[in-house]
Amino acid sequence: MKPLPFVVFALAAIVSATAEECAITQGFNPVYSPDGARIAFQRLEGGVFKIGVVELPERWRLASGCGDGAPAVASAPLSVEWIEAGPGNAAYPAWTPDCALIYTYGHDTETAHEAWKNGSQSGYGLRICEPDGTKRDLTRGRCRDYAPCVSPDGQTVFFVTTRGVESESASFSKAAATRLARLDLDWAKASHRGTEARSSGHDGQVLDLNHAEAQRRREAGSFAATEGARVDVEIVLDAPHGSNSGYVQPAVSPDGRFLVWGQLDDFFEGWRIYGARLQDVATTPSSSQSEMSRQFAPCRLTPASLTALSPRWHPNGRMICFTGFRAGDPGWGVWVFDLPSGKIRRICSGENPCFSPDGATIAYDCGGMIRIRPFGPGDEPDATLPDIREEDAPEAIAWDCKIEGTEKHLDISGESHFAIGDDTTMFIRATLNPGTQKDTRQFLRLSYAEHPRAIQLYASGGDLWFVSFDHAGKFFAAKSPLPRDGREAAVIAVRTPTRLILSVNGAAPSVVHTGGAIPLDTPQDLTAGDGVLSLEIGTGWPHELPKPQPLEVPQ
Amino acid sequence: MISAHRLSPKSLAHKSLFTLFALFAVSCPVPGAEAPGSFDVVALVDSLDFAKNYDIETPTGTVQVLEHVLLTHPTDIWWRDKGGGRMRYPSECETWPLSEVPFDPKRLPSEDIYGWLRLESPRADFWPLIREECARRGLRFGIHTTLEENHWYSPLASNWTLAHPEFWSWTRHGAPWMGCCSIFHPEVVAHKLEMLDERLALRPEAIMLDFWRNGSWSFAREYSAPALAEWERRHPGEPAPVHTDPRWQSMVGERFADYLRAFSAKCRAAGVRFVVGLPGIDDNDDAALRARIGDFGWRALAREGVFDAVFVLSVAMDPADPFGSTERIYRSVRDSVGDNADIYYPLAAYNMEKCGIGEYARRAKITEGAAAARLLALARDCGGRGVVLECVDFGNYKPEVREAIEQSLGNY
Repeated sequence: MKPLPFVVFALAAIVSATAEECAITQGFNPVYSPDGARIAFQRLEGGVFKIGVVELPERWRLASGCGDGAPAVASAPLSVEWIEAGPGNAAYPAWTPDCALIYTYGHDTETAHEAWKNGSQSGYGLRICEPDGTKRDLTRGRCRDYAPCVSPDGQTVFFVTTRGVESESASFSKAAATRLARLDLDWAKASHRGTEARSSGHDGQVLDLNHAEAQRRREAGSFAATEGARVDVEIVLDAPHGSNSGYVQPAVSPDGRFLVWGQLDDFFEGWRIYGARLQDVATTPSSSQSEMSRQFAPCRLTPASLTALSPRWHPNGRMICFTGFRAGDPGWGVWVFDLPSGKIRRICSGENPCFSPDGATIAYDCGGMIRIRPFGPGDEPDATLPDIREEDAPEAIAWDCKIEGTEKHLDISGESHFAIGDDTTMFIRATLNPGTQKDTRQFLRLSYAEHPRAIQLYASGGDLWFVSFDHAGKFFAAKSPLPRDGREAAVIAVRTPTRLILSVNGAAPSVVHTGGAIPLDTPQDLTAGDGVLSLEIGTGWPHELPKPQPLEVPQ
Repeated sequence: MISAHRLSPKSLAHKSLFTLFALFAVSCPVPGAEAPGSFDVVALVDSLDFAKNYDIETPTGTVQVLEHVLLTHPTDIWWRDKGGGRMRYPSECETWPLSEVPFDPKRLPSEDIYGWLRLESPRADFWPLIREECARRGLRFGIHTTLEENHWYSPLASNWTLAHPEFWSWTRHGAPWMGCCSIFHPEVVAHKLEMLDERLALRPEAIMLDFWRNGSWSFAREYSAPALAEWERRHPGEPAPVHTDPRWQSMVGERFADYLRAFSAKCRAAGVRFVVGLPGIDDNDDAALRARIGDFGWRALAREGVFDAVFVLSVAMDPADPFGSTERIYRSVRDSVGDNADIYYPLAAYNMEKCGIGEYARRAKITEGAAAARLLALARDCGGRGVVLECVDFGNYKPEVREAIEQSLGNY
């Protein structure tokens, strides 16, 4: 392989900050190298996103942060080694354990119309730059593969992608989403052996595989480099709620057991951090959203009151840092979160934090500068935010509203226990006579001052629909087939702060992510249709449904 | 991420002085106003909608869009300057390529052709071309801008908004939202006016602020900390009410009206006509507009002379009496506005708010050409300075409608 020479620029970009923190260079998205000696980052310069690496002076690699409490003024500017400096844009650097860099790269010279007409394959793909400077494109296509992270064993790259996200409508305002994907790094590198980056003109093909196909290939032994210049991208999580929802910036825990990521459930929502056992993610069918939802519920780690994304792990494997914002903050901040205790803390203004490999310092960006600050005892998470994780929902308690027999109307105005806050899980347990007709018929309607049809159960087209709204008034519905042989339907419907869950006759539940439920403070009335044979409504988690499992991050 | 452009206290002070100075200009006559007697056909053009028809990132494609729009016989071309928070000119306030997805992780990407357009990149700066092409054809050239920046669509969220969560809008239930900012923060208004400066520098003859495209911003999203502080000052100890409370409407309405006055003053100081585009107008209380935005007393502002023209973008027409009810609404608008602003009535191909040409034709059981002719006549009879085609897309104005427009202009 021909080593690709790095271009070295000397930049006078060192400024002092405080005795405890220092500014390194202009840029953002800093990531420590595995040995903690260097930081990779991106910078916008001359209209191009570039990726560079700075070597840290010895005194900045240590727990004392910028060293001995003295102002961090460099005697000489730090040299920046440019990994990608154009043409094209490069962003989201991530280190492999052996000190290669993987990042997003694209150089799209076509107009959108040209690319559309020509069926262009020019988008944003993943590129690797080996320690010797050799570069290879790992993925490519008319898509966006970005925000990669590498598993601790260096085997797998997790990243977000737009592969397979189809436009759901002719309207352009309906199709914005990402999916979570993974790539076997050895296979990907091997498949490009002997080929350099796309400037060399190779025509490597990228296949998008669902889990079943990936598993089949793996078992058949055909999921390997023998297939030539082909890279197999496996989609492991679909967009959580279709359009205007998706993931960004996954991060694998140091022990390789957990994956955390930023997630947007709807444009009207904020970013939250979710997590899951890697084992669950890796075995989740992803051929359809509903299939996925039935098998697997990621654990939401941050509350609705906190906008949070860009998580990265502390080397102790129990803490993450992330970009966050909460009411009253002066702007984006660097937050730390101790997962086992649920304690959290905003430690400074800034974004895109990253722990050093020894956990003693945090690099982040603020005001267009990469900064480093020590992470010490005074920064330990100490506050508990309101937590509305589903696994913490109490056991079900039914309201006094049992209904039996024919249609019934209840005036529930003034019944404060019928109020459902946006942090409350409520359930409906009902037995229905679905009948045989396919016409729309209503079984249940709960009216509140906040919305006259706040919660509904109705049949339409042979399905049972469980419907509610988010706080922006957007409609959400989970649906499940009703028995078509005249049998009664035993229904469990649950509205959590973020999901609607519907199960009929014990079948695997249908799940819809709502992002954020409308708070219903002012009850008005309850109407049950004549197909309702029995009805219980209340708050809490019904015993019939298994609760989502929390991330059992070790203490 | 990189911080979006920040305003220094010095520049804020400078802008405040400028705004005060400019407010004196509100009552001054606007240069370039046409003599009475002409009848205008204003074509609103969103070039993005032509992305699959022409290569709109090239000068050739841009001119092709313009030529297609000319099939509707417009006298005025009003070009859209942004899609959500993504500008369609090289902007200092909303820098490219930071606005390009996926470089800010807070945006999600869109993979269809629209998600790959780079109309804010330096290579796509076609505003001088559009202005010159309009001048060459004897067309007036205006800018069609939108009230808010997000268009309900993550890829179009504004750089500045994403960089400043401390200014985000809040609902009464305390949910912050990255889609738009609260006008109770002076920095937000200053940013909006700074954006206006950029557009005025493109030297349009007029600029229209579109209230239909509000990006989900409304008085219901103004429960920010400074708004709540203002409420507390006015109503000590009383919790903020629901947004439909007249006192909340009044408080937010006052602040919003101040913003519109400042917007107007800047336009006037630059010799550019300020136009508002209002949807959901009726002859009673403009309930649809109030529900969409809030009650900011647009009729009083019109009488005050804040607007040079009012584009009625849609009306709450009575389906049982389409033309009669429309006439009553038009006359109500005329009575409210008087001679304080020009009025343009809708001639809409699309059926937003159920008052498109096709809806009139269906209700009145006439052809669309005949419906268009009646709407054109009604616009003239009710004192309209012209009609507004909202908006002209590829082939969406049928030949019979285009013919009615041409005949109407010829007959005048």
